[in-house]
Amino acid sequence: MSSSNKTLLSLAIATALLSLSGCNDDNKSSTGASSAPTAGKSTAAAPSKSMEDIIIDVYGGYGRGDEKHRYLDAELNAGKFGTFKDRRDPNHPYSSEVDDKIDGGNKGNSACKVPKAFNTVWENAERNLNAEQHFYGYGTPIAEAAMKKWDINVYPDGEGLPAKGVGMTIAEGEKMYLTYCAMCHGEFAEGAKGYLPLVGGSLDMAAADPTEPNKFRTLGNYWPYLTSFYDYIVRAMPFFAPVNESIGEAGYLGITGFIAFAEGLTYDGGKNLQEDTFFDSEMLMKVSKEMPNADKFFCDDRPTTHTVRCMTNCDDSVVGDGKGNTKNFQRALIGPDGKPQYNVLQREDGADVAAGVGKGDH
Amino acid sequence: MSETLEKVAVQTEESRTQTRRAFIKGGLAVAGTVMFTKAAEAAYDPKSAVKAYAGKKEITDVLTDGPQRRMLGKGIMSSTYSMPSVYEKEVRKRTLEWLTPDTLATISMTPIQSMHGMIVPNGLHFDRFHGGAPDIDPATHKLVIHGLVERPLMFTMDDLKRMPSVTRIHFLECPANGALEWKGIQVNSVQWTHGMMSCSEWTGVPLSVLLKEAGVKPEGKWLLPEGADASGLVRSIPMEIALDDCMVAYAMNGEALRPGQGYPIRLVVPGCEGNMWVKYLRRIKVTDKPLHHREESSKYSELMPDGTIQRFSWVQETNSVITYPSPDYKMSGPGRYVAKGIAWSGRGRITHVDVSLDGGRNWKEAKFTSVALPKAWTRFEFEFDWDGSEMLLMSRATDETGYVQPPMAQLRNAVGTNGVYHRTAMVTWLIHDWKGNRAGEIENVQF
Repeated sequence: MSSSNKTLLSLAIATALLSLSGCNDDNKSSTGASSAPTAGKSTAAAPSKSMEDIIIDVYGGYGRGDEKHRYLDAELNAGKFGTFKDRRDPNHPYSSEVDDKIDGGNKGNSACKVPKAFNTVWENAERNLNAEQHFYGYGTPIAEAAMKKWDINVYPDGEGLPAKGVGMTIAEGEKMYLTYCAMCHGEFAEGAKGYLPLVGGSLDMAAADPTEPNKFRTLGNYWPYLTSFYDYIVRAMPFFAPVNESIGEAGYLGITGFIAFAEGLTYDGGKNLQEDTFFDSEMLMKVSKEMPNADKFFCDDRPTTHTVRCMTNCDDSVVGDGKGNTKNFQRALIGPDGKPQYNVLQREDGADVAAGVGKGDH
Repeated sequence: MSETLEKVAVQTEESRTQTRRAFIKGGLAVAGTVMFTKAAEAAYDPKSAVKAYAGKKEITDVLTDGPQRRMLGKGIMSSTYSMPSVYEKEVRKRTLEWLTPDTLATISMTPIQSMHGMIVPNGLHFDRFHGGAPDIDPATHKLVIHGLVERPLMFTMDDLKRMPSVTRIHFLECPANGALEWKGIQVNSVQWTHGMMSCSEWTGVPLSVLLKEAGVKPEGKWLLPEGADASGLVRSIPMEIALDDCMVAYAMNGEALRPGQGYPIRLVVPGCEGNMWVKYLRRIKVTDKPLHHREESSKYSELMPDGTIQRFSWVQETNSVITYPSPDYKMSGPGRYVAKGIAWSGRGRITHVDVSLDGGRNWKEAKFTSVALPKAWTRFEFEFDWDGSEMLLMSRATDETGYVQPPMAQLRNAVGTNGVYHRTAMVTWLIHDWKGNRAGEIENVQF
């Protein structure tokens, strides 16, 4: 039993004793369980809490304002915990990385975690888990087997995939793709009608210049697991007719295989998929273990900035353009009429109503 | 007139001096009272109110009754569900056509520039659809909790409403809020820069209560909530966040969720990315591993300048914006202005908001004009005198963890501009001087 439960129990006993000894002249206060936490303080009829206590009850430990719970505290902001690369060490209190070498790192069940330093989250979770609770019995028991159709999750370790041998050749998968996918994603998965390409992105995602356009994110460079791709198309594609039984498990596998083929993904240490390759769950897992950029993914290590709350004559590094120049700002492109050109065309009847938004409303 | 004002000013200063003397002489208990009454008596002189109106022409025409004064209005049952005044029709959700190729998997934005207070009304809450908004009959909707639990359970809507509930105010923000402007200025309204966000009062069953009811097992480390809509969206939520302050919500702002917000139930994951608040919730599977769903690997992950990719970025970081004056408005001449805005943090409560008028060199603390609740919009105001010259208006929020909202240049240096999500840096409003051909215009600029 947690200490908070012990406190609750002792207070409840104190309440009972008080009511037995006749000190309490209001019957209501000794009957409600809700009166227990404050009953020890007074024999008054209604337990009263400060507004701050009520907010903490309702919102958890946030907002207590004590130093102990300022988890991203001054020490972090002062750089005591090192750079964000240091914080990728799973043992670091501010790290959300999990040491998943046992599972093969990103090739298997990699995971992230809530950093230990987020003590409010951990304490609230612990307290809520161990808080006393009635069991209401309002739900209806359901067998795990009854979830068969709903439970379509497919995990990076292969759990949830169809049985080995269910599938089709990549050539057959291409036919499925042309029937169900090409109208939006293009015949070669190169994108169409405004839908972005599925294949053909550069594996090198590094950016030399912050102003260069965003790189295309495709199957090869931006999906750590092929299982995720399969999971996604089974649950949400084709967009206009998802969970499509006419495609079936074999068809979804074939489509996955064809797009993997079009993207040039490999298996068994660099072997290329061929049109006659039979693509089933076993082959999918082989390809999934060779996703080119899987190792590039890392767990959230924010905060990445440690801004000081400076009030007067602040350092150039936080002023204006980051070099102290407050005249060096970017603006929208200026049109021939000398007015800035904004990218705010509207869907509403083709009219640009944004121009009048909010004017005079204040 | 000016004589009177000067006199008032002198008197006030005298009375303050007296008060200070009384305080020092008389001790705390007595002086406290004295200070209050004396200051109150001396501080306000009604005559001083005329100064701000000096030179303005007085209205002398007799006011006449408008037509509404001379005829009856609509009957009590003219509307069984009240709608906004016809004069508020500009206050609407809006979307940007170029964002996506269809209207079923896209986003609408809340007109933040026209919002007041901490709560966005349900009709103006931004919507993010992944496969359109379905109409789900609550009589047939079910929520199943299964996986690593002692007793898999199915709940009807009636079952859920019988359970204990909690009501809290929380913001809900798409992590792509602000994403339009990683590489520069594209838009001219707070609706576009910050409108992928709203704040509501949510009511529902604490998730910890439901999980314990089903007997969550110690090896259950992750929750995989899933929607009943066409997208069947899933996010992997770590058990600590689930047990911390999540809820299964059936109500927002006192009424049932709107269809765009997950009617009849959705998950509420306070302070975390909006897409984790799974709508049309029909199933929560407890597992020992995350799913790595598309929406937490190939999307909603942030590309860094070195080509690495940040994933599982749950928290919405500390942020703030000045909603007035902002690009939707124009200055109306030199004088006193009350800047208004909102600040929020996914890590807890906002503790300070500061405002700069000079591009970030000097800051002054704004005052809160609402209660500062954890993971909720906090309202702030800041008064300043505008002399009609060019000015740069910025706000900077600090939360209870000590995290300070960064300037854009600092964030850009840290994470580049290819991340798409979590652009939580300060924005800057350039107020044009009162003389030029753009007199008093307020322009969105970026450092």
